[in-house]
Amino acid sequence: MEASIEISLTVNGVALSRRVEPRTSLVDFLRYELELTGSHVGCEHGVCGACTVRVDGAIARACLMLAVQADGSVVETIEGLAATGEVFDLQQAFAEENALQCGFCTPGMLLTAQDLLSRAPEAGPEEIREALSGNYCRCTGYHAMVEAIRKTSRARVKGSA
Amino acid sequence: MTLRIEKGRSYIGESVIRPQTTRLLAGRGVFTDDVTLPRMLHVAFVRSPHAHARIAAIDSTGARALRGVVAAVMGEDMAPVCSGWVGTLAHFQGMKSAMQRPLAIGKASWQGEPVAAVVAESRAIAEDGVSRVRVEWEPLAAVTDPETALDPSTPVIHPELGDNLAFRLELASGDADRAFGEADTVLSETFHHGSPHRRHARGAGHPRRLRPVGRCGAGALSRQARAEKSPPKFWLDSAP
Repeated sequence: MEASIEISLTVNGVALSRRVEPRTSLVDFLRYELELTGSHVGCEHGVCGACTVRVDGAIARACLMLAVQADGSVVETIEGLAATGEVFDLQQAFAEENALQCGFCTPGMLLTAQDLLSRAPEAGPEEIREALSGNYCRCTGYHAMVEAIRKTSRARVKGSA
Repeated sequence: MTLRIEKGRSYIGESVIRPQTTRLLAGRGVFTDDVTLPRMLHVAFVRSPHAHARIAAIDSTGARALRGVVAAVMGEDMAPVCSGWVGTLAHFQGMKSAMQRPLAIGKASWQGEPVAAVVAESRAIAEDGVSRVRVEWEPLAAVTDPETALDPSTPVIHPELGDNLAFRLELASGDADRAFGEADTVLSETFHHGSPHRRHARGAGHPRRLRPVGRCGAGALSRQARAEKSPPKFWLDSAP
């Protein structure tokens, strides 16, 4: 087996070091090594968006990135965003609008929605749909999510005014 | 906003947030792949790259030789322990379907059909094992068009079924022929639709824990079974 490589990174605010096999994807590292199972693996080739995490402030497909590439990075997952309360209003809006059913795509949706609203606080329905187009949902459909994100957007804009 | 379910209260017309919603929104749901059991093994499959092909030869020696691979099995190995199933529906009279086995024997009849399974200590090793299974394929004519599937020139995919017809359904009520004959206008239309099957984003599965059948513990049983040169008997139990 290939030799393991030591990486150091910050995950959800915690600085840590681990030895990983070079071929380990970032999402497998997060899920199996750190037991952060909130990031999901749906397609393993960057299509479904279930593995979306934030790396150095930008969202990324953790199945298309190797753990060794995250060496020195700041990685944030749904567990981190939930713990700090950063997406509390989004979570609340998703619950109220029934924007989830099985919940498998939900962490990726929340990360993507948060990324969109940080770039475009007043994103309209078209923009929201475009932003979510890389995240698959196989149960609820997207309408309720768009509504939940719009609701959050309106509340945030109003709150900051 | 969260509505608690209370006995004797009517929820008709009210918006009720499901109890699992909070943990799902926090990334704390538990899906199949989130469960890790002690000494858990992983399986990966060798699948047919052809829609229809004969398996001329299959060799899993390379996979078995890999460190961390626990087993590499093929259709013939599975046949004595799993008889397969025929996926027909009782309310569709006369519906026929070929026996589906866990792993194909002799030939593959659809692209992606599993023909070998490699069990290993990790998923990565199982997949390494899959890449070391050698399959010699003899591609056969694929049948992909339902409109010509019954033509005499079209090969029959499952010879044991006689033809490529799964079932025939005619819906008629009253004297349909007369009604059509007396109608001012008769519209004839062919409808096409996509696959009606819904596919989950998450892999469907169920982590299983093997429970030994017999009077002694798992370790003792397998040692005993090895001594008797017979495989240990297990039954599947839901986990955890």
